[in-house]
Amino acid sequence: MTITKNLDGTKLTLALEGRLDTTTSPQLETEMHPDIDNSTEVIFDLEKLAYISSAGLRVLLSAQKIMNKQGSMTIKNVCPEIMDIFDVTGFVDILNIEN
Amino acid sequence: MKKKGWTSLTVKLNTLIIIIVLVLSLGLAAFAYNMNSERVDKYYKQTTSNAACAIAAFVDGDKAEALLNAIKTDEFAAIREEALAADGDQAIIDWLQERGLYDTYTGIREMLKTYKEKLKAEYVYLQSLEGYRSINIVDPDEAVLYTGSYEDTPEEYTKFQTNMHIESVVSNTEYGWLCSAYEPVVNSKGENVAIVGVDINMNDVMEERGRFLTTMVLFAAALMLVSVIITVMLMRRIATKPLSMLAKATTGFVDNQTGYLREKIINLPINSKDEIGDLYEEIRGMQGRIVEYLDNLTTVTAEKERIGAELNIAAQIQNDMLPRIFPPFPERKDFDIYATMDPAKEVGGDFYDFYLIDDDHLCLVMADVSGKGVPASLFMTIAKTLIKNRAQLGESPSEILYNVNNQLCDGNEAELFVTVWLAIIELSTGKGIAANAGHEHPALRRKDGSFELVLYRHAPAVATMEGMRFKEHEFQLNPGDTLFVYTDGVTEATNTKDELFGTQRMLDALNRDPNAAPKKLLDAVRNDIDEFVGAAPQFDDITMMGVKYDGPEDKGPVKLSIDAKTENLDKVLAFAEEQLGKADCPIKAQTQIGVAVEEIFVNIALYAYAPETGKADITFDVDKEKKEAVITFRDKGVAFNPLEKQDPDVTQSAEERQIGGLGIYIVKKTMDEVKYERTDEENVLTIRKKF
Repeated sequence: MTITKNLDGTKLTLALEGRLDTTTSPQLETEMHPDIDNSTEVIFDLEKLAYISSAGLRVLLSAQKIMNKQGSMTIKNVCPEIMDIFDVTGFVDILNIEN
Repeated sequence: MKKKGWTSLTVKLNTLIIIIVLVLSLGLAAFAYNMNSERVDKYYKQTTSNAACAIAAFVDGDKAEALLNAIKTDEFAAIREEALAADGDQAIIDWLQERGLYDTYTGIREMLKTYKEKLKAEYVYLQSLEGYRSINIVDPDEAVLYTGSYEDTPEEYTKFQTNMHIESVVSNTEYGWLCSAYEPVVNSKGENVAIVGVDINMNDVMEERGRFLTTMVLFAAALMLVSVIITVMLMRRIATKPLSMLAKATTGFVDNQTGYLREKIINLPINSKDEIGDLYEEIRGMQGRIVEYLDNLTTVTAEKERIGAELNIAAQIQNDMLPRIFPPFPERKDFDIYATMDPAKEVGGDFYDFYLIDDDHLCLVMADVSGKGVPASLFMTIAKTLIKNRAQLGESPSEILYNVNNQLCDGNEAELFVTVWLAIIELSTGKGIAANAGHEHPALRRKDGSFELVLYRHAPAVATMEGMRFKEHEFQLNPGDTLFVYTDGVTEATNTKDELFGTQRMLDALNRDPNAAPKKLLDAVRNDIDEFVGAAPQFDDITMMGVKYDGPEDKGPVKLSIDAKTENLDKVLAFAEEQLGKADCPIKAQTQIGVAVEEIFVNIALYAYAPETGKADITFDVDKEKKEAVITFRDKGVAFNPLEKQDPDVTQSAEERQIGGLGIYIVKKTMDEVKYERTDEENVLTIRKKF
């Protein structure tokens, strides 16, 4: 998985490409910290993300939990397949998804 | 070995010679004996007769008559009786003297006595006839008492009565061998009054005659013995010895161990210029010719054997050229193929061929070279090789035949040609392209149908004319279809009544069990041909090929056995993606299934064997037709049913949310069915997803 990170002041943008699964989730976790702690706005661009599993969801959930406390988090450009997963798991209600 | 009843030539010839000599000697002896006897008898008879004549001439007939008449009287008879009774002859002498007859009596008696002594005769006497008896008148050896006695008349005397000359007689009497002569005594009136009988002893003569006979017989025996000995020796020298030598030598000529050799021709010291010499020369000549003939025969036979052996090798090579191992592609499930070729002679002109040009293209060839035997088989070899080379270049049937035709036409002095049916089938789709160069119509059976001929226009045979183009014929094979191709050896198999087997009988044989595998179909046709043909000889090569198309492979379950470690997740997902991709699974379903696979595999990797690691077996059964994927996970870790875990509350807020259980929850939600079993110490989790 490729992660493109862009930190603009307190605005952190993470563009994910490929698969976010058990193997790659720790990678995202490492990339995210510690910048996320100083951010007020986090944007996940999932345009090029093809796949997400519960491990990925776990990372997204932990990010959401952090951002609930210190700002906002937005998920952008979710493809239908991933949207399905979000639907099934009720993540549509937790995450701020912007399509 | 001598046959029963075998008798030596010597014995046969000697027997013959003994018989001949015996007959000749006996005949000669008898002849000589008779000649001799007759001559001696004649001499004696003459002598006796002469004596009798002389004596008769000296007897006075009248006196003798007087004497006779006197003694014939009863008076004399009475006197004689008395004299006999008194045993004295004085009375008779007195009686005769009284009548002056005694002097007559003594005169005759003295004369007879003198003659008898002079002639050395046995008996000389004077007799006469009295009725049927003869009466003795005078006998010098007897007393006077004898005169007047009677005795039986000899046969010869009858002639006396008729004044005929009485022949002299030789007879064996009580007095020994005698020659008897009789001569009548004539009185002055010329009447026969008495007979003078003269008997001359022939005992000496007869004895000599016996000795003569004995000598003759002994001489004959000696002659016989000598001639037999001479014949035996001669026969041995000129006939039996060379003949048995010949027989022995001729037997030696024949010997099963060493055969007939020139050195064994008989060589014997026989140079007689006769039939045996001829026979010897003939046998020698004959043996020479036999050896020569056999030498030739040996050469010819060896040559024949060599050609036979080479033909066998050729047949073997030809057989080996045709793919003969069935099934030829055991790993291929999309078609089944079987073919046979039975040449009429050792080598044939028919051939079949099949090969995969690439993974997806099967090339089928059925061909028949004109003619039979070695020329056809050589042409067949070239044709087969050229076709295969071209086919493997990836050319189309039409191109293949075009090129092969041109190559075969080049230098085809023997003007052979070959009919070819060639097809290339795309196995993934069942699309086929065929070109038929003068070959028999193939028979096709659609799934659940029956075999029928596929009729379309044929191009001329290959190698008939340079530059020809061959039309292609497209066809579609659907799974379950069977194609049957053959050469005219099948349809033109002929029975003893000169009837052809024909396509109808062939189709009937195929349709008896049209769903059978190609091998069984070919066996059925072959059986029918054999039954139909019966004892008639096979004229043409019989070649057949059957192909059953089963459609592209339906792969069925595929198993992945892998160490349950999260590091292997990528491999598992890649494998899942491959299997799903092959079945044309849509992206969305693929993603969902991928997620489910990941969740379950990661679960196993993290918990099943913790803290150790173990294997996970994942079976993918993706059915393209049913649009369904069934994936089964097996591990030998601790018993754990993830389905029993309580579902997370998806309505909770992020803060309230628990991380655990989400994976299985996704699985449950996205799959059509999730099933857990614990069997044989294994956790078996099965997910099913329609797409």
